[in-house]
Amino acid sequence: MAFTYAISGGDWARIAPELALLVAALLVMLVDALIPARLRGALVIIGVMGVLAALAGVIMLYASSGSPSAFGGMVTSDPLALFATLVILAATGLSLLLSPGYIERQGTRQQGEFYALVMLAATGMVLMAASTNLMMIFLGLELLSLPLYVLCAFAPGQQRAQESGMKYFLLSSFASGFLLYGMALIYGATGATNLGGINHFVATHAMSATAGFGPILLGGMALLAVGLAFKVSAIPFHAWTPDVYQGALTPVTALMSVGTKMAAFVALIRVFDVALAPVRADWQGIMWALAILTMVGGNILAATQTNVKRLLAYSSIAHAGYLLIGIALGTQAGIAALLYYMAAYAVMNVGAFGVVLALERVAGLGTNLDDYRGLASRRPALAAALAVFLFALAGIPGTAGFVAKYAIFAAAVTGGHAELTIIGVVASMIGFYYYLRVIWAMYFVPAPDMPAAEAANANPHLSLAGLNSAVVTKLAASGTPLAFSAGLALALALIGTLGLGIFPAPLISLARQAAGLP
Amino acid sequence: MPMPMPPNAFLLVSAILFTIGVVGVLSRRNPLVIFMSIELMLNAVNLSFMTFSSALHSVDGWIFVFLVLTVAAAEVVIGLAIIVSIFRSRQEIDVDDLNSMKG
Amino acid sequence: MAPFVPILIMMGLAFAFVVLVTIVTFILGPKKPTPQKNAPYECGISEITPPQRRFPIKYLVTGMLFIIFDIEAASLVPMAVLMKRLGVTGLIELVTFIAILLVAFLYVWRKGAFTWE
Repeated sequence: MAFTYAISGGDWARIAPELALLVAALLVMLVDALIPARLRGALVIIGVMGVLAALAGVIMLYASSGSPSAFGGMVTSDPLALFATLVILAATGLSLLLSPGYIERQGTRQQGEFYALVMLAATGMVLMAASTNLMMIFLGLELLSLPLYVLCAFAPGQQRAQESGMKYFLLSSFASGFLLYGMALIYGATGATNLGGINHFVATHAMSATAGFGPILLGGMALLAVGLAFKVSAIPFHAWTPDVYQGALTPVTALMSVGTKMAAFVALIRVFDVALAPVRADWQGIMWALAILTMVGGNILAATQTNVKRLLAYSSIAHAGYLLIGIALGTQAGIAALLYYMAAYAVMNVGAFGVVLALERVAGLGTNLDDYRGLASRRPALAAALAVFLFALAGIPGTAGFVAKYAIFAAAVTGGHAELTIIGVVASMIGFYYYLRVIWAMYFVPAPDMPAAEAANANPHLSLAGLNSAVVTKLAASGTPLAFSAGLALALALIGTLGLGIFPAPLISLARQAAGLP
Repeated sequence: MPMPMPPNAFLLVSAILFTIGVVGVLSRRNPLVIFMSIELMLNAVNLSFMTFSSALHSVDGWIFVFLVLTVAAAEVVIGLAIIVSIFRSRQEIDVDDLNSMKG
Repeated sequence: MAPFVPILIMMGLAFAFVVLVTIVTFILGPKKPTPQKNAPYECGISEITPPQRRFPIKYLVTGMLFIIFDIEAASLVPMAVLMKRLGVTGLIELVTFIAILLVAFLYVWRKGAFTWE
């Protein structure tokens, strides 16, 4: 067998963002092992610097010329990968900034592990977005999932976090099994794991559901779709999402909701919209149905929630539905709209979770809708910020969310699927209801008479968290001050949400470039 | 010398193993057993990869198996760590008891 | 091409078989539980202490570390076999791989996972 092994320095430069994040993760671990425990809070600086270095790498790759493919077609640094990397870096950076103060408040002593795992998860997300081979997609997916399993179970002594980690771990590994079997069948049907090779085979061979390798390919596509649909939490594979999002530490939730989605959507684009484009007729129906189910179901389920973190989890499911429209269309305009939507979603969703985090007390307390009553008079700045993020998530004009929704619905109309637009708009109407419900509680409902501490004492989880009521009373009375870095993150997210809404043009052109449009 | 087995037989075994794994995940209540079932699924897929690889005369499947094995090992470690941490904070472990969040 | 079609049929059969067996055992299996039957042993005296004692956590930690370094060794073998053909680039990659593991090793060591007591 011919054996060539040619890896040049240029190949390594093509994965500069991944390398920067990985080196930052290793540095965090190394420094954590060497410094005394009281200094570990400073490790976040290494993480943020890693994100900035990765950002520099992305800018360098945008400026570079030549073939974007590297390592024998395993990974690429094409505009699609770079755009996704930008979104993931934004989510990672904001989540890192939100963490200091918060994770100490949650009683976490292993801060080194926390930051190292966040950086590793980010590496996996970026790697998955850059993959052009089924192997690398799988590897990237696992590299992002494994740290997240641990991060979800991270909060010490908290039953909810452990439950959340266990559930995520079992269900996600289960989904990985399906994904892997799908990959095996696709490999068996086409004889390639490289997406280019798969595309070549599918384009040059007659494939139908009844002839040739068609049945195997069809089975493979279905299983792969199940695996990835689980990762983007599309209904009916969403059951894990609310529990995991609610139980995990809030910065982790913010990172997961954006980063995992971005990486998995890029994989969906590369596998279905690009490599399997010749057999679009076979998979379009699945994506179409998933999009509708997820949009409608996510919004309806969100409307009944009384916990804000859980509400945002269901809202994140609903947004996955809008994003799936972009996949189902299979057009370049649809992909461009999806990418812009994802960027907008990154800032507004991380921002919303950031406010939730600022208001959250120990052991997930203070995230109920009742705790938000009268917030506008107690914490006016936070209430206003949350209102902006929720308006953006609902899609009010002037915010990033509106432009994003408009772009994706317009792409659906021009792509010949007006029914998706109609259903999407109706689903968004339901969305207005629950976002406005939170805003209503903050601005127009007076604060509850019962002191928060009493409500806290009634909560059974508290005893498990090993906290005495005096601490809780103190925390509830003083309210938690906003750490400087968290304030910075919220400000950045706010600028992003409004900026992308008022001046969307530069990012839209970047997204169009990533989708291969002029 | 015996005849080599046809690839279909291996693929069939792989499909059966995968199905047993899926049924195990869905019907068992102990996280450790669920986890074993997931491992069974992954190894069933490995068998498919090896079969396809030798039938197609391509090495991609072998490399894939290698990656799957590595990832599965990492998954075992993390799974055990989470199970142990739950074990420490409560005595029994059963997925039906993981129900403090509802809705 | 055609040989693959039977596989799908067999996959269906395999699934049907598992479902069938599960249902059949559920229906046919006699279910008359008595306290005696639910006891671990139907005869003899019941045990005083649980027969299986739990392993201390430290065995598990050692086991986890073993798996990681076990797989590491397995990953090194193919590279070692091909080392001559991989040349200097391969050597650099190998060293990078080991360096990353070394960081993990150092970390685990400093965190005290190797101390038995």
